[in-house]
Amino acid sequence: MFNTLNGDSNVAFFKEYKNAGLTAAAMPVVSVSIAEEEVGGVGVDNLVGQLTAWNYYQTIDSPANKAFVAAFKAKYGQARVTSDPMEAAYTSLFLWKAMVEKAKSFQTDDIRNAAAGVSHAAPEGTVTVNGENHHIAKTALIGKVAPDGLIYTVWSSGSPIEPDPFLRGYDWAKGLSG
Amino acid sequence: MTALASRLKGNQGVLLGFVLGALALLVVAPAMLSDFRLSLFGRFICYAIVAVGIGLAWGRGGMLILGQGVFFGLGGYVMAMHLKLADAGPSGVPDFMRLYGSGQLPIWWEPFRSPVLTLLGVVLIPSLVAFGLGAAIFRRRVRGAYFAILSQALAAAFAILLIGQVATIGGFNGLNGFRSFFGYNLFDPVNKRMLFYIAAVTLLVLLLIVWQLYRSRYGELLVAVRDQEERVRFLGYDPASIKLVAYVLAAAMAGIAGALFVPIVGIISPANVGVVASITFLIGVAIGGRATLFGPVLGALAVAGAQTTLSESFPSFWSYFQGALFVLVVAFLPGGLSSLGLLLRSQRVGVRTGHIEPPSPAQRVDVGRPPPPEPLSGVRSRSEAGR
Amino acid sequence: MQALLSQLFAGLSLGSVLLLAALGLSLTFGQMGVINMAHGEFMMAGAYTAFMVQGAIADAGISLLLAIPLGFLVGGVMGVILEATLIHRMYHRPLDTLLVTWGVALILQQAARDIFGAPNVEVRAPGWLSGSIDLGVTQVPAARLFILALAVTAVVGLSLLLRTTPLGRRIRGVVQNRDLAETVGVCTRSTDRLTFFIGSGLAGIAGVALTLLGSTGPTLGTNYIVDAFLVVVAGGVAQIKGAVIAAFGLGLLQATFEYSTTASIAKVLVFVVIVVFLQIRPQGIFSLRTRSLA
Repeated sequence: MFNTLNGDSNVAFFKEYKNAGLTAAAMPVVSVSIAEEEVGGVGVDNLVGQLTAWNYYQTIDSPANKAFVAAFKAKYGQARVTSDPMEAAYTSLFLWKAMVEKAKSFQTDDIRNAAAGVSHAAPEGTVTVNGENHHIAKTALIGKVAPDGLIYTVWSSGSPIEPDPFLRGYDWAKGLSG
Repeated sequence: MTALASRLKGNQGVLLGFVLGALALLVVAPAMLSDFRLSLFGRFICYAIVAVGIGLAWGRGGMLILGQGVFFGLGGYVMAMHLKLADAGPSGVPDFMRLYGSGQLPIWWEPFRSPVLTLLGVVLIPSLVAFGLGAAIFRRRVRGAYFAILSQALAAAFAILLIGQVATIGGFNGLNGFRSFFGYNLFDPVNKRMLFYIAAVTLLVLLLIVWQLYRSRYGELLVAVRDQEERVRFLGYDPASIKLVAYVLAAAMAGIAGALFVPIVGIISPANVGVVASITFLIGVAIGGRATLFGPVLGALAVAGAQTTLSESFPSFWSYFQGALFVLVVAFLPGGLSSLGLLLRSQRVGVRTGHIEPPSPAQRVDVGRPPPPEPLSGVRSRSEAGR
Repeated sequence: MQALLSQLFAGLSLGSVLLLAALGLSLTFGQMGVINMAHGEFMMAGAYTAFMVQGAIADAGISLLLAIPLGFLVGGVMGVILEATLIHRMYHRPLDTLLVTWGVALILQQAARDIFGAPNVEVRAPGWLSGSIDLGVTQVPAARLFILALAVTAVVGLSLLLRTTPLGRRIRGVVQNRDLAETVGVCTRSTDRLTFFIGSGLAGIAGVALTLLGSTGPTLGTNYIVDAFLVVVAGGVAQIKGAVIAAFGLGLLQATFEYSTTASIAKVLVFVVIVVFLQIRPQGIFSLRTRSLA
């Protein structure tokens, strides 16, 4: 099952999924909006073994991430968890800072022109801004929800994937992209 | 401004209010504010335009309209559809439709390629919806709480409808990413300033119209319907049509405000039209004085300004503050801040106009046909001021 | 046949959720004329009560059964506080109560955000309520069956209370003729307060029940409040049976429309049906006959 639900609907969805007698072994669900923060709200019991697709998990084993998670917990409490959207917001500020430093200006247009190729060693790994469309090249991950409520990587693209927001690189999308 | 207006009796005071308002909006604000703040102020003016309509229907007409977001949204979406089509080119299709849908333009989008039909639609579509709904509801004498709840349910239904239609109207994300406004580049600061002037002038013109309405026979009838609907009926008037006019006008104003909101803010989404957005329009009106001419406008501007200032520095405090405003103003100062002066003055001479009569038993029981709205403190003196 | 039955059950289940949410309102709005927009936040308080009880008692089954009376108490006490501080000043201004209680709702929501955090919290369902029960022809989720039973129990309990107890007699007396009730020695102040306690307490129970179906978060109440008011409006004020018929009617209607269209279109269609219905019966299904004009 490929689940694109957002927000609270996920809670009702996974409760009914369990009530219908389905399990992750019988019919696994890949979700694109369930991060560590949401696992608590949906209930770990309702999610164990399910898959998610993101670019970051709290369990990523790197010095940059360990420092990020430790600093986050020190500020917001040991019980809190980090998630991909948090990490993305955190990283974007550093990217902006790098652009400002490269442009040596706070003007929007100058920053925009300086964006191409700006790179940052984020908790998720190195990310780089694409000069053509201003999306960033990131590493894709698929993770599995564990009983401790955290998500562990089960597959990784290995290296950052160049952004293709307008679906130019896919045969099936021919005619869709303008 | 309002206090001053009520002190200078008659038209002079109101005219002075208009002159001061025009000066503040058209001269002082553009000179003092940065481009960013001016655009923010333009957004507040859109809310103020909605507030003028609410003041008419709620303050003068006694109809608690909790669904103005619907008409705001209808006007806004009509404008947004036109801007999307204009950006896409003569035979183009808006970008999101290719991403989420079939890439085919639905037939009901076609009329909004035309700028003329769009401008007509901004006013006429909200008016027609309000007319249809209002005619049905008022004719059957559904009013009071029932009317309020139905209007709120309308807002909920409308937002849900929009969220469900990703492929044809943008769903939860709404419509955004407009590049031009009737041929003018929306990224150009000069054009952004022009939008502010358009909004400000629209607000002043609509206020003038409403002022003339308040001074007319119709304005008197509307207040009469609010205070004693049955008596007006016995006198041979039709309260349903009197209320309908105010409801439709309020809807049209909300539609115009929504259409201005779209190019100024750059997005319209279900969050701007739903239950919460709709009821938020009311607080400024209640604070400013729902039955006054300038009160709703000043209240709406003040609340929007306070929201921006407070939530910039204390994000969670704003919710408490907004909640407390609703509680304190509506429970203890139903005439709004503009009644404060009158209240104090009357207390000094020992007469409390703010006092409200205790309810009669029949009024307490019968919810379906609720009691006539209580006289608002200071309403009369203000309607005299507007004469 | 099976599709029809499962659709029928979906409608009944939705109806029972609506009924639980609207039952307290039919007391406070229907009988007392107070439009309490914070009713949804009392539901939220009930849901958080279930969460707190589960924090203290790990067994999901016991904590759920314990949370139901506690949720009633929490909702009821909050209701009484609201009545005593604000609402009793405004019985003659029903429309303004709507705005005042909306303000209270905003404050309560933000308080929940500050106390429990903005994300949803987890309330575990007991083992005997997860999974489905096989009814031979179709399978129904146990949790939904439990909520249906809870709603029916609440209705029966409330009707018994109104019909057979002295308190119920006082409440009906005050609703029918406040002055006369006062003349014969009924303390209308305390009756009002008790009625409000029961109505708000029912919201607390509804909140506990909703943790079995959906998310438990600060906005839980806002998701249901509009629908709950529509049920009371369509059902007509002054009688519990109006709310019961309207809740199940709207639930079945919504489920039927959903089957043939989409959930969002169904919602709009239900709204249209209510507006058309009010054309025929402006006072809802049941109304109290009065001779007053205003």
